[in-house]
Amino acid sequence: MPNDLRSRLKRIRESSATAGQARPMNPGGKARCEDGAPARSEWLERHGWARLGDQVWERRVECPGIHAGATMDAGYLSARGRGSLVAPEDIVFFDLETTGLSGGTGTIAFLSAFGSFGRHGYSVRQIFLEDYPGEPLFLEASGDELSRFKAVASYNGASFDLPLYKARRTMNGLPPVAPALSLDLLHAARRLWRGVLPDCSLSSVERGVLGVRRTDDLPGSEVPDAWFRFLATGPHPELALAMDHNQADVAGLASLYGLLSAGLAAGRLRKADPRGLASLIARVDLGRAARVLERSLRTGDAGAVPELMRLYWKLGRRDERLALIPLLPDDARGLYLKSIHAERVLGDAQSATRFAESAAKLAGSSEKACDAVLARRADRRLRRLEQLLAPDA
Amino acid sequence: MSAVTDFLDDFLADPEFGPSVGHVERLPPRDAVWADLPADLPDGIRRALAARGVERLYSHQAQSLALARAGRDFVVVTPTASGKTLCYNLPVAETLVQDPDARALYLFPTKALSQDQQAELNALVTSGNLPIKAATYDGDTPQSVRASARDTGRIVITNPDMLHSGVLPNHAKWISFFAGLRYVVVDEMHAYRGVFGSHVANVLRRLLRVAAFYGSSPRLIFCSATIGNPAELAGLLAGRPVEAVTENGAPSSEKAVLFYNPPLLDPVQGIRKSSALQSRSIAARLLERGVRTILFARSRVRVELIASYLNEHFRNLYTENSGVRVEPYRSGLLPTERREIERGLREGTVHGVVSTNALELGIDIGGLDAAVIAGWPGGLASFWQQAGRAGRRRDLSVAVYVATGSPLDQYLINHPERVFGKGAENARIDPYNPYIYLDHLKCAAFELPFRDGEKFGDDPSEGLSMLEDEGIVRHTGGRWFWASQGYPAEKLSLRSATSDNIVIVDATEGRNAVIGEMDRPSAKELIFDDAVYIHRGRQYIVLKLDLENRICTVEERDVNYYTDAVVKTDLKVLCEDQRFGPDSAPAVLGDILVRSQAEKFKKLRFHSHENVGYGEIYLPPEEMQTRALAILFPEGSRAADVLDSASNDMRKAALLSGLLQLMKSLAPVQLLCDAADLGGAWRLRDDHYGVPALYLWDRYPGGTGLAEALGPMLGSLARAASERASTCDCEDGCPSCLGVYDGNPDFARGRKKTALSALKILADAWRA
Repeated sequence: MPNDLRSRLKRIRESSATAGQARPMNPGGKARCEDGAPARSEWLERHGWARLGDQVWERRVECPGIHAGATMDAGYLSARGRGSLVAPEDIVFFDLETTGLSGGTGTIAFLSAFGSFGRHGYSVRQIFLEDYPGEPLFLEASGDELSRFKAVASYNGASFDLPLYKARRTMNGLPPVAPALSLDLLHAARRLWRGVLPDCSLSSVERGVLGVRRTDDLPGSEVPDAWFRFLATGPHPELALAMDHNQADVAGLASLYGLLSAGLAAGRLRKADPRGLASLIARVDLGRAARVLERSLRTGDAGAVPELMRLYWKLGRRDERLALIPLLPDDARGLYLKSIHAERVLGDAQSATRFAESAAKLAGSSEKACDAVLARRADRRLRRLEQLLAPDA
Repeated sequence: MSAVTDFLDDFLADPEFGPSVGHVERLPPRDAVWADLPADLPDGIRRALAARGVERLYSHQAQSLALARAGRDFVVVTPTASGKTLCYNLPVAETLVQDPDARALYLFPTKALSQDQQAELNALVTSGNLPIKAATYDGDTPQSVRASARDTGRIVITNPDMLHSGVLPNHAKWISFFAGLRYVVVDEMHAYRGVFGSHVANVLRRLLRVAAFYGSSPRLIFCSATIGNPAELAGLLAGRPVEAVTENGAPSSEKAVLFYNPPLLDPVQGIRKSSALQSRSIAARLLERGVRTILFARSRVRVELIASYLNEHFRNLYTENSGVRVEPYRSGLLPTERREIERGLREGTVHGVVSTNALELGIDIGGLDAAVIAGWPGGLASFWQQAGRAGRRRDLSVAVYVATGSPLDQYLINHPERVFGKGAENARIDPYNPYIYLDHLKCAAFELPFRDGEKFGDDPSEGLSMLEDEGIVRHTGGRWFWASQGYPAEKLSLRSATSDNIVIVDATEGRNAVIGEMDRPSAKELIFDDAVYIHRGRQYIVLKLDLENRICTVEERDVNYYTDAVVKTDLKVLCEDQRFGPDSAPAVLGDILVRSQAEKFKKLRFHSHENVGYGEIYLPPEEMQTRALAILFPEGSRAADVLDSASNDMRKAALLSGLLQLMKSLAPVQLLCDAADLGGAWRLRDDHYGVPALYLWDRYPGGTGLAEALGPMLGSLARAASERASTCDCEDGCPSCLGVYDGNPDFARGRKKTALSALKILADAWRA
């Protein structure tokens, strides 16, 4: 049976060709321009690339005008980093461009960018894989960059770029690189700007917070095809855009880092949700986080109260915490706490009953699991208070 | 005296049933064949076995351990409840205890079975306090536990689907697992036949390829119910020779197997009492006596029909029996519904169950006392699996096989020796089905680049260059690299021809609840607009089948009929690959294009099955390329002369349709396939060959080896067909032999005699 597999495959191939079946628009497979290598080299050189080795290229671009920011506690951006101080010069800003976004061992990286602050300001080194066989060299060159620094800053790198890079090394029989401290700025950006910006993609943050609008940018989803097309038919303008996109990403990353390091130290950050900002600062300094929320409360943000109460609790500032209770929003939890407060602090059983009743009603009509617990507690509290107030008691 | 013994005595003496019992086979209880535990078994394992009451082994368990210790791949063939899990648990546990880096992978065809096995393993591990963590890794495993299953699971239990789409494409996350992989256990191997088996052979090929990348070469252990070619099937799945352990050392209890042929209502037309209704009556008798019973029916629709008939029956009895609860069990139920029924059976709150072959596999439903098998289940392995559902205890159990009117059933009911003799059928797969092969070649290229000259079963270069043409792999530097954004495993289902299932939504009074799903080709023939769809005894009318959005909207409604689609088929021969038989009666194997279209449907009344109306179906046709065998009647040959003796074309047509019907319905006996796996058509004058022709084809795109296997079996097929036709009491063909001719009955007159002489000529010609 196996010997006729080839002919059966051929027939299927022919019949699907004659049936005019739509070919997928994904032209990366066939190496149709075998003799296009000189043209490719010339094009790459024209775009600032220099050959690093067989099928691997590098280029370095200076990025004037990006400020280094300040030395800060890595704990703001990484739970593992608490207590270790990182200077901007200790950080490599890192981004990969890959052949797909769904992961799995068939996805590879073909372009990497490493930004760092040196004596002459910020510069970006990029490494480019011209074709598959160069992958081991590409990975090793990238690994050298990663292991030179104390920390790696990325945007979603903790879940995507770094695991993918690790998997590619495994697949190519290379040992893992020494794990640097990973600072994933996406996590911070989500806390700060979710709900403020339309989404938390790096370009949205750049536009909305840094006031930088990228021109001629290639959407991330089109990057893989840009490389596949280069493989199949040689250089084309979209690949240049993809390369610039990769470079712009790590430039934006450094700017964002500068903004964050200053803002976290100062406790003020442009357009940021104060509660998100406080939650980041609280990882390092509870007192400073509380001050951020106090300021927000003074401007009328009642939503800051529950978080501020939690901080006071941790800080052991009991009286300040109690004083906040009447300011709590009238949601189930707020009402429940107000009931306790009315009974124990104010000695007002009537109000306490009223609060407990509203809390029980609100929590009972919610479908959230935590509200079910609250509903039961509010109910118990209400019954007890009602007994207390009953005329025959 | 047990309730089963009572039942048997009364049933055989009953004038309504007794005379229809053609054969009673008493399978005597069998004693165990024992072997001592090997002296050098690690202490922990010895303790674990002792705690589970195992002081010695059945002979097949001991033989398995010896083979595993010798580093061999092997397959154990044993009936239900014969201690087969120890055949693999023992060698695996031994290896894992001795080597702390060793790992094992267990594959079960369904998630439900994985859960059962995990429980069994845990019991063994805890009782011996063994340092072996078993982890289930399937679609139901929460993300939060997956990492620990990967990193610390010494035995990972999963199914082929998850291995294919979740594990292999992400093998870089499983490094230590693959590097330490020593055993791959494939249980319920007989389930891996046909399409599913052809896929699984390729998944195993990918698994071994990835394991080799990490430096391991695991041994394979298979377990199977009785089939004719266990070593061959295991070898095809493994891609290398596998030894078979076939001597079963386990004891078994006494069992009576009854062959029941429903009485003839009309001998001339060959119409018998309905097997579904007779099975229902037999099951009702058993259930009334408190005998816990499973009834196996052939289709999802039948399962629903019979279960609702039975429940109706017990509702109408104003006795204590009205508490008898019978549940339908079939594919298309939601997992929670299935689990509920399984639990009910184990705990005894469900007394009877009507099932498709979904319950054939080793899902734990505890001991039942009787099995009623309505219609031949498609193979000896299935038959014994189903019969084995009764009799897990020491007492006498009973299995009743109720024949349908189909030629296959009528042939077998008169040939009990085919069932009780030893010749079980062969299970077939075609790992080289070009579509299946190509799909897995994609997945394999995604997992690891192919090197020039590397094998993937066969030489993959033709397939790889096809993929290169499509632009999804790139050939450079002596290797073939995956060069696409896609994740190929995601789009490929191992279970059906197409991965685009139709979801069935109940829209009654705005419920909008999903009640089941179905593959697209089946949907076109079963849940077209206005079709009656039955789900757990409830009837629904299809409001709209929306193929584009893969949704079928149904509404609950009480009607007194069910629906059956009439399908029209066009054929085109694409190539002729191989010829069988002499020039006077040739058969040609090759690829064909089949285009089928459901154009209208019949409405059939419940119980009486009479036709109460027609409706139109407006759906696009379904097209596929597959493997077919064409049986030709060349001009001037003796077979053609017999055909020509029919005086006109109408008579010839009646004759050809009869021959096709008979051969198509008997072929599954030889092929161990489901009747639904084969398609067939007859041509008075074939477009391609220019002579009269009968076609039989594999209903899975690209074929699964059925057409190939049929070629050499044509002689015995013709003999069986001729025997069936000659022993049938009807005059001009009936559903039990040539089928009912649906044209003018005048043209069918006398066709049986002609058919017999044609079959005799064919049988002689194909004798070699």
